Amino acid sequence: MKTNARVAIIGGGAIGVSLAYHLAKYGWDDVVLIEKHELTSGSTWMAAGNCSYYHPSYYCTQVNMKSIETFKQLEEETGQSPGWHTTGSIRTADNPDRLDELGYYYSMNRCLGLDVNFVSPAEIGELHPLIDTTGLVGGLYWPDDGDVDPASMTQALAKGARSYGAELNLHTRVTGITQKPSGDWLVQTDKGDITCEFIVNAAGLWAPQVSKMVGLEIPSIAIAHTHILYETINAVVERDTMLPLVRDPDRSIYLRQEMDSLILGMYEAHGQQWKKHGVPWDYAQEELNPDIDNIADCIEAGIERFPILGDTGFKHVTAGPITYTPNGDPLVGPAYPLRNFFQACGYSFGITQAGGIGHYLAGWIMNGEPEIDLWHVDSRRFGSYANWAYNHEKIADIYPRLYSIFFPNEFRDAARPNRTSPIYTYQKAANAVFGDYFGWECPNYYAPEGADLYEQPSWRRSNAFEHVGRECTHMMNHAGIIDLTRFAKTWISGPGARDWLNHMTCQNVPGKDGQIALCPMLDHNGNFKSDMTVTRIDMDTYFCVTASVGKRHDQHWMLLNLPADGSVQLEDLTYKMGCLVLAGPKSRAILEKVVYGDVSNAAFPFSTCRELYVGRTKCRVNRMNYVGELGYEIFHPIEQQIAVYEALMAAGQEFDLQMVGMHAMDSMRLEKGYLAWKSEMNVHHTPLETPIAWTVKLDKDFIGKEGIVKQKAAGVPLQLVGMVVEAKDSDPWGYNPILKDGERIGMTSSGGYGHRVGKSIAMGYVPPEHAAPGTVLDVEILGRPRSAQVVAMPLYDSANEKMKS
Amino acid sequence: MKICVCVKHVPDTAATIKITGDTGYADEEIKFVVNPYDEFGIEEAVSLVEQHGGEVVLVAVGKPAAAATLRSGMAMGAHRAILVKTTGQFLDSGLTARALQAALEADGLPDVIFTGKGSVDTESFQTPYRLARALELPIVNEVSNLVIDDGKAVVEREVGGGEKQVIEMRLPAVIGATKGLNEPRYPKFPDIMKAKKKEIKELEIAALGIDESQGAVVLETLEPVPERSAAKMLDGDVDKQVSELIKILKEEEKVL
Amino acid sequence: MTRTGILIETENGAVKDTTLGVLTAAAGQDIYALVLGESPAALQARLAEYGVGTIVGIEVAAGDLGASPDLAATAVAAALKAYDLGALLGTASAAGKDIFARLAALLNEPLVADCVAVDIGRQQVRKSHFSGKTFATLKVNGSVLLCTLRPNAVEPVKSTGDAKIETFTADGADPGLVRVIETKRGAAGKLDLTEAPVVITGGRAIKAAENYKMLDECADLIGAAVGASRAAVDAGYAPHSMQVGQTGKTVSPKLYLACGVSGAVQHFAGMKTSRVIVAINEDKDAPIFSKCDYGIVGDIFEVVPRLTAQLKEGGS
Repeated sequence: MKTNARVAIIGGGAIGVSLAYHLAKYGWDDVVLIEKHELTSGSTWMAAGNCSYYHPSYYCTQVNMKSIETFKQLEEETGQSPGWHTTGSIRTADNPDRLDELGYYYSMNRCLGLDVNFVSPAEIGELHPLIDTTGLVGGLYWPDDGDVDPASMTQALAKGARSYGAELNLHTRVTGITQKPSGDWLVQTDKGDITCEFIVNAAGLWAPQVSKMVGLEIPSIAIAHTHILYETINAVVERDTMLPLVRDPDRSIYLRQEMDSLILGMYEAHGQQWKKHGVPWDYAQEELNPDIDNIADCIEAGIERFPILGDTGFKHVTAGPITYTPNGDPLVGPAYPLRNFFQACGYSFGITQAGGIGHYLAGWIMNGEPEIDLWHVDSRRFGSYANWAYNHEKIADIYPRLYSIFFPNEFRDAARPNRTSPIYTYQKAANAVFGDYFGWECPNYYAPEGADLYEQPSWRRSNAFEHVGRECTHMMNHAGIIDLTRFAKTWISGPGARDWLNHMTCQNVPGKDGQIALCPMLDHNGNFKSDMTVTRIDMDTYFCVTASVGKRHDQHWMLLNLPADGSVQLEDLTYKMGCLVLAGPKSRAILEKVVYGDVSNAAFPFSTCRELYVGRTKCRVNRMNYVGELGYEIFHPIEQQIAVYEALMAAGQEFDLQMVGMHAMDSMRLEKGYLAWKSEMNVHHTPLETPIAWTVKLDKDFIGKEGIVKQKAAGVPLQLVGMVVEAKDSDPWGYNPILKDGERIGMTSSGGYGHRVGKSIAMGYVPPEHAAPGTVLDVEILGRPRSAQVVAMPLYDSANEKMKS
Repeated sequence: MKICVCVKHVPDTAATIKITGDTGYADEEIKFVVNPYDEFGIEEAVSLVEQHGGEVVLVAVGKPAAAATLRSGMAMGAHRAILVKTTGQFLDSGLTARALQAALEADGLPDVIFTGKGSVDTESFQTPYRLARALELPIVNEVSNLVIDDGKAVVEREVGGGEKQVIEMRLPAVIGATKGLNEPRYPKFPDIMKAKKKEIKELEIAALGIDESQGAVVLETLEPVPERSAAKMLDGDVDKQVSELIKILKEEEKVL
Repeated sequence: MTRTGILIETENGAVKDTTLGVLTAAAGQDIYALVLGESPAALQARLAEYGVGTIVGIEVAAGDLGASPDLAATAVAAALKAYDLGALLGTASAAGKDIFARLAALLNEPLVADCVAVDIGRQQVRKSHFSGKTFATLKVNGSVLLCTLRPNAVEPVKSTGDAKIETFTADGADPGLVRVIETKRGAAGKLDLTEAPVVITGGRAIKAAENYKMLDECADLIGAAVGASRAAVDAGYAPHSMQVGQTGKTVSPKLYLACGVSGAVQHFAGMKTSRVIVAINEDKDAPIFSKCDYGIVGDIFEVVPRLTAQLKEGGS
């Protein structure tokens, strides 16, 4: 085994081997993989092998597409067949909500150029003669995906990896990991040590233990997943084409052909967690004891949908452990807060993703950024709240719901609450209906007295719609308080702080004390990395605020870029400071009553920061907000939040000050055309494509400048526009097609209903020639095109008079 | 007709046997199955009763977990079962036979008793013989063909080298089943569910007057067979490799 | 020294090689070779070479030894008593396993079958448990040690013995429970995969269904059954009945020849208890090479025909 390598990949399952293959293929020497037993001997060898395009995320669908593309050409490339079959696949629906969901995915898939079709129950019956279509209302059919043999696929990739020069070490177990002063990693194994620049944790079932070696706790626990191979079925043998894979997500089952028979898989109500405190190191190549009783309901559901299964014997029942994370998506990418340590684990649909993630992760490691936005699987989307216990409780809810309808407005109760603002009890008393964001409970909206404290999950306008409208109107006419305690807050200080921040953002860092600037951080390609607002406290001190869910992601970026000479200090203030946003035309009047000081427009202009006593609490107040009203972000020591809140509410009583939730905030920001992180701002767009191009200051150096200059020279290819859409009872969503005369010319980034303007709004990127206000386009909503028109943004208070008043 | 099948709950041959202490193995989590040879017996019994009417009763001697094997057998069509519960992982064949005898006598002797030719865990190859002797019944083992007619059974017994003996005996008799007797059916889900409701009568082996610790054959140690060490890769040209291989297989390994 | 009986097995009028190993296992004891249904004189020279002190030719007063295994067992039991044997060893062949089991039941004495080693003095044996995954050491507490040995488990070693011949006539009657009507050759056809002592498997590298003929030729020479990997079956080169592996058949032959099989975990699960595994594969990194005893990196279409040819020449 080599003693030095560029990268050490820990784990020889489908994921690790795919990564080794791709890194070596794309030109890296010294790629070493370390596997404690045999390749595939963890979860991979017992996997069912389903390989579909479908994924709820636009970007993960691309990962699946890449996998299938890789698998289809693997035999020609390596001489070893991965056992690929093109069978096509069907996803069924037996209720209108599911049809809505399928409609969304249909639209999303069309943005990717996939061949996907709506199919009727009759058509489903033709495609799959063994199905009983009773109760089905429709489905989606993809003709080009299929299944693969997990072990053969991994062996084929291994063969390829070796041929490209990667070293695969078997029967070698990692026993420890330390970091050298140089930053290089030292991986200790039972066969010797290896020094390397990068480590990738692809250890699957053992990934949590490997993570522990570097001091990390990751939310990944194994559950025994079962699939049943039936005995020979004549109706299958007699066919001359293979049956498409079917997922009946409403029954939580899948069925695919396996040679002369069928395999039925399922996600039962009570997933049995396995070795949740740590999988023994010597576990390998071992089937678990199936528990038929536990999966009986799903088997019956399978028989209802495919009657022949009731008459066919079980040939082999396979129960094998597979890892699950709090949302069923894997943990991929740079591991916070380490340098050059990547996660590639927590996979539940690893076979489908293996080929593709090998490619994209290789690119991420080699180039520093992924080719597509992989936030959906980024391990940093979970914060420290997502510990072992959280995951243990959460996956009990996630596992049986892996196929359940994804609703964009649904927040599951399991494993909650975790983080709460001090004013949580006040929010509850006001009938808040909560969602959780990066572990923080936050009111989505407030329900009136006597109403259900439950938002109906839906792709269409839910029962929350009118309440959200009321909150928006209230804020527009009076004043409201929004709890944004969860904002990620970072204190940057030191003699090097100003220069460093100027290097980190494309914008000029504020030049005067108490000034605020919108300072996006870009990656080395010039694309959006982080949505940041910077307040200058003094020349050497800056208060930086970024999106709450991006806390780990953004602070990781900062940490990795801190200068080595200690001239810049980073302090995390997220849990030390609360944030209440007071906004609306009456907000100044309220502040005047409660603050000791001058809060007139002259004394406290827009986009400035003042240290003020709100009641007895010294607060840092930023005159800036995300809803486009006159308003103030009041940052305060978190332990004094209740004092601040009570003072504001007392002062606000005569002005009918009320609490306002997230849905209202989102509605209002859409009306203003404000960008949201990972909707409008992601790795595929630069600020030049957006209305905040003015934040790019080319007369200085900053990370991403090269990319910006290149794009400018080549011509900015896309423009972010706002559109008003003729919606009926459902509003636009992101990642759906924007069409011109039936042809797709762009894609939405987000959408919703603007209650203050009374219009349905979509934001999205289109080529500049279609960006002029007045341009008539179509936006697809749940699979159907709706007429839309580009409008000048902001739609609400277009001259920004209210904010600046 | 009444047919009894003696079955054993054994680890799957693909399972890892992890030895604990001197004489034990970790049996809590590994996959257990019906002893594969017993399945031929169960299938034959169920087929016969399907033809002639009657009932199939399964009997097992083992730890409480052995109930799973009885359920599997009942999913194949057996009507009910008896479990003689033991506490240990291994039981001397002589004691096993006594336990089976006691259970069968208490339940009422059947027309045919099937067993498998041997179990894949302890591989003792003697229990059916002891049982037959105790019940004073005929016994033929490694039976791959069976015809029953008018109280008489004509069986074919595998004797190796592709030869079979044709043997005749009167019923009731003990028949040790082996591969070739039939194709055991794969259980269907509705039958698996029905099996959960079928009766398993439980007896304690001590209550039958049998002391588990008093077996005549005593297990002293259990050791793992060392994992195959690294392969010996042969070299040279094809002829040389092949001749070396043949030599090794014939003279060293003695498998050719 | 224990008076140890050895049940002699013969073929074509000569002592079988497997019996020579059993005789060796009793080396140092006072060995009585028990011969049933053959002329002891014809075997004397050979038995003298392997330490036999006395040859006992067993006959029955009444009944047909060949037609009744119970009668044979009764006769051996009588001889055992008459000669006051403290141990009786035999081969764990089909016949041997059967007669010893009947004997043990008849005498109500303990029996250990298919052992790989026996210590007569200590009354201890060693044998497989769990289909070759573990070895068990067992203590036998009876008044006679009944034991069959796995064929070829003990290497025969010569040792001179007197081999004086005696005759013993057993009085016991045939209990008349079973009667052997005839012995017949089994129906012609392929050996069963799960019972064959040798298995040759063709993997995906076999490339076409008709290429299994190449393996059949070799198999016929060495008494092997032919199997296929899942990949080969999936590609349509072999029927499902030939599939060896986790979702196919499980085999445990004494010799497993994997030809063009990559050796995926799911395949290995179906053959890992094979005693000796030989792998032939073009890819030196194929996983099978870390799971076999002997490996040849080569093209199966070159190696297998050479193997067949050499086996033919050698007269296997």
